Amino acid sequence: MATKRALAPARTFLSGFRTAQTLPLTRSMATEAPLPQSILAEAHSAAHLTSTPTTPILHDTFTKPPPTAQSSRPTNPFLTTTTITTHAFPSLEPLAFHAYPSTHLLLPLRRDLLHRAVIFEGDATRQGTASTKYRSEVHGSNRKVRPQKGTGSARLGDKKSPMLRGGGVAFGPKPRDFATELNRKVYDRAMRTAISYRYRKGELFVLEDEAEIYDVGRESLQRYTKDFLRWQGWGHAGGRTLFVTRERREEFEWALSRETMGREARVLECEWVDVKDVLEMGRVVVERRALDWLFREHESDLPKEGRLMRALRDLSRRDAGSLEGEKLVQGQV
Amino acid sequence: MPRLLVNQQALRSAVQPAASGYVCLACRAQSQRHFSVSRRSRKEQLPFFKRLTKSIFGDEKSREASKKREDATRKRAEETVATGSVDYEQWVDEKGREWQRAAVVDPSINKDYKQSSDWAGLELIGGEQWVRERRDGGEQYIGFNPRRKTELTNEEWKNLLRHVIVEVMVAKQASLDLDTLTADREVDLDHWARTVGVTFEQKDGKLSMNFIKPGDRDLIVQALGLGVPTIVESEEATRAVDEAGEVVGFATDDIAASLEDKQPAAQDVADMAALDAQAKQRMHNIKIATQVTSGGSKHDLPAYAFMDPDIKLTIMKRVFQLTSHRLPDAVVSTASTPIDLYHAYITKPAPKKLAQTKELNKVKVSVPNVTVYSKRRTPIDKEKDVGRWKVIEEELLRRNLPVTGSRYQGAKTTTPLA
Repeated sequence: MATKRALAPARTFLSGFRTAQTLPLTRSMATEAPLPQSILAEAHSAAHLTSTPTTPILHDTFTKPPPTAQSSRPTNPFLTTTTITTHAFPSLEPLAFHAYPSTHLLLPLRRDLLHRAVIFEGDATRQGTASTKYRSEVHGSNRKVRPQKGTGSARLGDKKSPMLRGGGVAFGPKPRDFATELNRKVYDRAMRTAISYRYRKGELFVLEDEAEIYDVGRESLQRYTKDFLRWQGWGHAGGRTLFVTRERREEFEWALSRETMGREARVLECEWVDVKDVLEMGRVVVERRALDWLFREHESDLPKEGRLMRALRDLSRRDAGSLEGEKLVQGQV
Repeated sequence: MPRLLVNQQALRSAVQPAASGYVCLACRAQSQRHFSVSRRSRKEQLPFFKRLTKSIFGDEKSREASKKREDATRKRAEETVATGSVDYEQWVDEKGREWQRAAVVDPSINKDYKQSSDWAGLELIGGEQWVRERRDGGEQYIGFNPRRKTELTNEEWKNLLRHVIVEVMVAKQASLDLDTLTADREVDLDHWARTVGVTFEQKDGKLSMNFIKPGDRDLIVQALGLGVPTIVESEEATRAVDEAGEVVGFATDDIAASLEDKQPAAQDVADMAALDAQAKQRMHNIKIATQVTSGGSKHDLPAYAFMDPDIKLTIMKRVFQLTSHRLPDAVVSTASTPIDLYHAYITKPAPKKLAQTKELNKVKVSVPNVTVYSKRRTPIDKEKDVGRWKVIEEELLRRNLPVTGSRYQGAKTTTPLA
């Protein structure tokens, strides 16, 4: 069952996770940077009672030191790119290539991370409403059923004992929360690992635009959608398909909500996608904007230089700078 | 008192607070019926006996109306005999609405009409499926790729890739839009022969094409529907290859005979069956073209890296459009030459079932006393092998017992309940 990550309890994702804190700038710090001379002069002159009035310090500027060679991190020489083909919908005509960094689409398979993420999602999804009555909660009298001694039978207290029929349950279930915790970075890496796994198996398809059906009447929409899935081999016979969209697609969702269409395919908005959803069906068809959103939401384990937006910017700069006559390196387009 | 609509009565009873707040179905049904609360005047009322005979035998007005209906039906039956057709007829009512109504057939008048004794072959009217089909607008899905994959041998793949690469490179050299290559075109064997017969040559890091005849390039461009382009001569050297004719050996008459003359255009297709037929014909044509235009082994694919990603995309797009074979993105990303693409296309996907693997296929042949099944063997399969299952199933159905599984409310059964 899909869970919206935004509604998950905060402790699930942020506990054990130090939130960013801005340290207050105090004058007592030994490593404080020296103030500019002009401001020092104003401060010194203001301290003397007999001095002439000076202009008050209206601003406190600090000149940022120029970036040195040691401050910029070296680029990762092992970072490569991989391409994905985007398609039109619903014709599935290949339209373009798009490059993504290997940290997002070429992650090695980590079954342990996937397992942890799926178990975590399952635990959070549990309703936890099973309930039984203890012997103290069962309706009945507390009267001792028979005397302690002399009857020849086993000793008994009240009739609510778990050993008796109609009695309470000894250690039965009670409504509780089964949610567990998982490090956010672990979960994010698991999500990207799942997407990389589907990509590597050739079961990830990216759509350039919206996954929406236009110019088809409501009366024919279900049959049209079924024909589309059968044409491409994406229906029940092909192992079912998960469509991931950036926003709600009214017509397409309506078509897939009809009777028996659930066994052919399923559509989810990207905010509701779990690791289990990515791994469950025969293939995942995702809008490019939805894929970018998923990557942006699940890259907390990467340093800032490795995050998607910056990586794509660096890629585009690199492509613009490369000459046309250069030989291509394998793995690049 | 004016005549009150029963609905108003029901509304009043619904608005007034009732003791229980519940109105039963019978009362609701009764409230739907119209009734009058005003008494008729004594002058309008007929005597009791006359009212009784009127309700049993009818009056003049009702008899006339009944006769009028019968005459209209008889007239329609006679028209059916006159037209000789028992199909649906178009009818426009007094409000201008068009209807399609069945013809009236009277066996006493229409002696040629033979009534059916059962429903075999008759049109079934009604039901959810029937209503859905009537409401359907008829929009058909047509994908970019054919519905079914065309299976080709290694040699045929090589020819297909050569054909596509030559088309793309000719268009690229002529600075034309590559998207037009994927426009819908019929299979032209002469065009295929020109493209597949091209040989590639690499010199100084550049790829050049050698056509069979000097004018082949222009003919290729014309076949693409783009007209004669302005060729940039400096990028390649074109020369006629005298020995190409003996390599590409085929008889155009034989090939023309193997292709059907009629190739319906996509716009003329009305339903999925016709689409299937068209796709099947196209697959057949492509297979024929790749078979008969096969060159010698020296016509290999060029080992030249793709500089422009558009070229690789167009090649993949065109192959996908012709054969419905799709390469995984991870493979496409690492493929940098046409040879890489060729190896990717000829590589069969890993078998999904253990029984389909090469090792167990060998076992089937080499070890005759071992049988490999791809599915789990159930007792029903064993009974079917012996031939006893038919009898068992018939007996279970006769006794109204579940054939597979158990019979409970909501169970899926393949047998009709008695």
